[in-house]
Amino acid sequence: MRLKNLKKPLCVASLLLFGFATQLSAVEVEPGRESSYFPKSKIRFFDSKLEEGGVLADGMNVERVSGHTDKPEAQIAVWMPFFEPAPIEKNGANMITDAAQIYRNTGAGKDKFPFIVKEKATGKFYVYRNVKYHWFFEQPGDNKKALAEGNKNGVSGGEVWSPFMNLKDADLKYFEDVVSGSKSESDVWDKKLYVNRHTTAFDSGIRGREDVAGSKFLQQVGMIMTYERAEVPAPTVSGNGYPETALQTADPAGEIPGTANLTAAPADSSFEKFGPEKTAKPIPENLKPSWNLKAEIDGKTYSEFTDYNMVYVEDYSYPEISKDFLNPQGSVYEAVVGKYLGYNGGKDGMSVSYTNENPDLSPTSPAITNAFEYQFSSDELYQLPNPFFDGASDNKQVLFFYFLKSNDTYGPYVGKSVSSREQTYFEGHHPYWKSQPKEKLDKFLADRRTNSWEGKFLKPWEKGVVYYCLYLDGDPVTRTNELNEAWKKKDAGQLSVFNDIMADLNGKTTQAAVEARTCMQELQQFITSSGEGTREATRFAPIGFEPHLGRCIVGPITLENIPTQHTEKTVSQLDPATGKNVDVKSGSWTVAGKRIIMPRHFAMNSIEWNDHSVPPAPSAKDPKAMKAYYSEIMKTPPDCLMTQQVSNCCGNSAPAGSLVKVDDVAEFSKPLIKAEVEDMNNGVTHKIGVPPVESLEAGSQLVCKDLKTGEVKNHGEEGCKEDFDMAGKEWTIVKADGTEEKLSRIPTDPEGPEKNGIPVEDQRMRFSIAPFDNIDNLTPFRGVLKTEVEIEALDANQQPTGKLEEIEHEADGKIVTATKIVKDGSSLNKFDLNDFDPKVSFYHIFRAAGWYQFRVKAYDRAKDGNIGQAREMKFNINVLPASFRTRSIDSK
Amino acid sequence: MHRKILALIYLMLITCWPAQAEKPDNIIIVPVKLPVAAAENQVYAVAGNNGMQAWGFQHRLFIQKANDEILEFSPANSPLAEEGTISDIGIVNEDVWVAQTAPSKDLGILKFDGSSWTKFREPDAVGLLNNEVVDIHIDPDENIWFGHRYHGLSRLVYLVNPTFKSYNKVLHLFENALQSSFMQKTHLWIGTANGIVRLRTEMKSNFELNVDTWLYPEFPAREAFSVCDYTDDLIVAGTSRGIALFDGKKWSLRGRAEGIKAMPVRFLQRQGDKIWLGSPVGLQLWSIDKPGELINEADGLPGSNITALALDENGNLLVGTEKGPALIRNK
Repeated sequence: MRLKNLKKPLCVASLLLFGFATQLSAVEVEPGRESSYFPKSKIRFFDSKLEEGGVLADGMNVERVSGHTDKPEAQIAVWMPFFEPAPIEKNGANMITDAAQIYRNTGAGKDKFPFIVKEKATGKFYVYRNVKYHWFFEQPGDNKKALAEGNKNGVSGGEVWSPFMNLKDADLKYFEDVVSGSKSESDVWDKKLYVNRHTTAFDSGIRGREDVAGSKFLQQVGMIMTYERAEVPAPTVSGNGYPETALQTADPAGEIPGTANLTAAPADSSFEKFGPEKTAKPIPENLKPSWNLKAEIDGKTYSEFTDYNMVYVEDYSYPEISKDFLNPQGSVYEAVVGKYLGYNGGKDGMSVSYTNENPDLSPTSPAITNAFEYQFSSDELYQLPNPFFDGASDNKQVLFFYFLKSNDTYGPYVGKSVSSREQTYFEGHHPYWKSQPKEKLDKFLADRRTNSWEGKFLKPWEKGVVYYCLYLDGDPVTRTNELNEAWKKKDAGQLSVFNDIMADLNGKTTQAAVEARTCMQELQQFITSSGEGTREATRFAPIGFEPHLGRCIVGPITLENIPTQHTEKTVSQLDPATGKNVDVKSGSWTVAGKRIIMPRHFAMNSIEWNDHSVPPAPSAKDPKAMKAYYSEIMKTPPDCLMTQQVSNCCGNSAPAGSLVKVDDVAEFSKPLIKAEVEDMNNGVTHKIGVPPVESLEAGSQLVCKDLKTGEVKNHGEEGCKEDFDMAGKEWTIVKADGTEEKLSRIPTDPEGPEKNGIPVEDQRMRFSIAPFDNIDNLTPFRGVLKTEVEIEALDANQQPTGKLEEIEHEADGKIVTATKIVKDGSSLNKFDLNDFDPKVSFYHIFRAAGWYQFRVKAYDRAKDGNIGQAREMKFNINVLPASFRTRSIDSK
Repeated sequence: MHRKILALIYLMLITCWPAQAEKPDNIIIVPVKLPVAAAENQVYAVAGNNGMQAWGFQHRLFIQKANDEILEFSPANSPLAEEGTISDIGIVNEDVWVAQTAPSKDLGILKFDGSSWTKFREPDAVGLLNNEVVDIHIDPDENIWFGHRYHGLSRLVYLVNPTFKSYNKVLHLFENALQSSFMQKTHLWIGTANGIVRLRTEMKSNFELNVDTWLYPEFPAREAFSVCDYTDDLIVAGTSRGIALFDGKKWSLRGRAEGIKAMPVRFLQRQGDKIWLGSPVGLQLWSIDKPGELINEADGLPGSNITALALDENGNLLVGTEKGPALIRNK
């Protein structure tokens, strides 16, 4: 079979619709899996999307012509009737049997009767006229919107009859021409064919043979054949009648071999009429429950047809989104670092409303989904010792990952940090770093790793999640899918590499490996027994890194079609085009607030925060334009953009966007300070400072005790907003198991066990102060805009005297002396802060013994770029007389 | 007599001692020098056919012809997108096909015919399923299969104006990301992030009636990163747990215990009765009787993290690594 304009590919496996499967050696093929729906139906169609086997290959669904998918009138089907008048037998492959022999009429009336048929069984000869195919299409119900004119019942065939149906000249260009208007339905190349525009969707979005067979939402198509037949005296024949074998095509190329010479054209009265009563058959059993199509011919109504079919008419409608951050009503949400949407009393969860104009959409279709994703910077970087490290050169000692901590319902979310991908971003795309010298960039990238947050504060089962996701260079998408399967089913057996992990850890003796075995068991326990959250929804999500945007992206997370997340109902709406009320589906999706976990280390006051505005969005009624719009925005998206893809059950999706503005107002939001005090004489170094929450084991709490009043304040696990008074308070970390770790202080008791560490007068001390903030910690300026240091002399009762020590230090390349060291980067614009170093370091000699108070204040950056929140750390130093040290040595 | 017994024992020991796994000593590794900065030296895709070798870096493409001429393409002189990353390359006849992906998911595919470029993007490209193509597979009949990240595949249909035919009714591909595809006679194997799918292309249908899907644990891992065939009509899939073998009825796993070291097995390239396994820790030349040893940077590869593999018609293995390209030839 040749198709015009269709060049055959090199290897064509042409297949007839009889469930015939090609056998492959050593590969199983199951019998009986026919490729067509309703294979027995002999009224079928083809549309512009031809299967490789040509027009006879299965046509179950009517699609729109490519390039015109926005036009309902482009949903065109060409219907083929595989019926001829008796005694001609035609099958669904357009082949005729030798039950009838066909001759070309070379005698009387050859123009009106070009063919004469001989019935093999009886030897009788016939001619035919007015062989007509009456087509009927289910009309859309009153509640459904007809998108354009179409579904017109009509007739194909004609006065002059041919037994053949020309399919070999099927012309795909015809569809384009009909869409463009240069051809009409009646220009089809064979008059037996009937062209219909299926302009109403009959598509409930379900798929699969059994579902579709029983669906009420398919369009009914029926055909009734009518014809007139006259018996004629046996003409003189020459040559073989066609077909010459038992079965031959009803679409032969060229002339058929046999001719017959009709002596006289039959009179009108000799024609017998075969109307619907004679050509119709009962409704097939499997269609009886749903078939209700009626036909009307010449004023009479019929409920039975020559043949029947049900067809799936694809729905091209998109959900129409209402409420989008880009439209003036807007959806902008406020959030707090490290928490989740709604934590601070704001809107709990994010909702998107939509309408679908196809009311047949099945509410239980798994294709009804909403997939959302949101993004934040790559500063959410953590590290843990690699428990799988075995000393091999290709195995990393430290795992670096992106992480959003769990709350009691969702999370954690985990991503793999790949240094080369981050390098690609900073080196090639970051507005500041891409123009920096290589050495400076390399140092920055190395320091990012060094300064990344410790993952100590993860709960053991959360660490298990990290190990599971990252094991053997795992893809967090796949691994979190497994974790989610396991979570929903309470079945850790879903974790395909769990046993591989345990086998790998087995025998390893490092601290990290020993701990990891426990963490994996905790994870297993958590999956199977935890009562937290809900098992109806996925809990975990992957974090990816996009090297062009320099953003970590959570998701896409696909929301489940469950009542707490999705509602949909049929409502009646006025169609302005027709003025009638039509049914539409109206629904909304809600993303739970706890699902949108905020980063701890990225907020509006970060120098990386992208607050740029975007142009107004086009209308949600134009899904093509909306898709193009979002595609454009994604090239430089604002922070933190959350996008959702709302799909209807036909798989057509529309985008919606919201913005989340993250505020740095958590308990841990103020800067932290690390101070080192080194006695240059005896080499003793004291490390003073309160560690960040991330560096504490899970469940640890920060407690301080006022040394004067004895009052104890437990700051809990979330960090502490107050200043670090290490002079008047004793600070302790209380671990989950109750053990306590006192934070280091400079010893002051000359009779105490650490007396040798007490500074003495006239000895050089080195002070190194390194402040850092939760935001921008991985940049050279560590998120600190300003540092101030002073040392005040105290009296014998450790009370302030107002006398400040003169401190000699380096500023702008010169040695200067001042009572207050100030390092101030607040006048710099954001990216220039990468050249600002807030660290302070100096040598000092206390010339007089006595008490001194060391004070350092660090300021972070506010969202307007000015000075933000401040934290002061102070501690007292008891400088002893020089003789104390001499005495101490002598007493040894 | 005592000495004879000792000699016999010695003889038995040396003959019965398990054969040491050896690195193939009949290969040479040749780093390929292309004018790319060290920082941008990660290879994302390779292809070799019809005397051409194509090396894809992030958004730059080098085509080395049989006469050693090298054509270099970048966003400056071609429709390669600055924001895109080359996901795969395929060479058929004189045409070099390139797929790129980007956050906008809208880049489509490109074709270079030796003198000019053509861009194919939905909806202008008739029949192309969508614009996010992550895999290109050329089957033995020179059909070009474009694997879309979600929703299915498209195949080029050779017309005067090329058009595409989409295979978009495989439900499994709606929710599970495609990793790669491979045609075994008329069975199209599709590796996904969750199991493996076999589409029987000899059965013409819009439906998934002719689709078989294997999931964990019947398929012994989650992801099927790569697929190829092997002797005796076996199908081999690369997974994070080793390689999975299908004998027409069942899947079995060859993992660490069976000598697979190149894990996760992200890339497979058959060469005769052996298969090259590519992973983030190196290459391994595997056969069913001999798992082979790991070949990595220490053995002369530019990097151990294998990012692309292809075999050209001369038996050269084109190897892409995170640190640059190389060729592996037989001595």
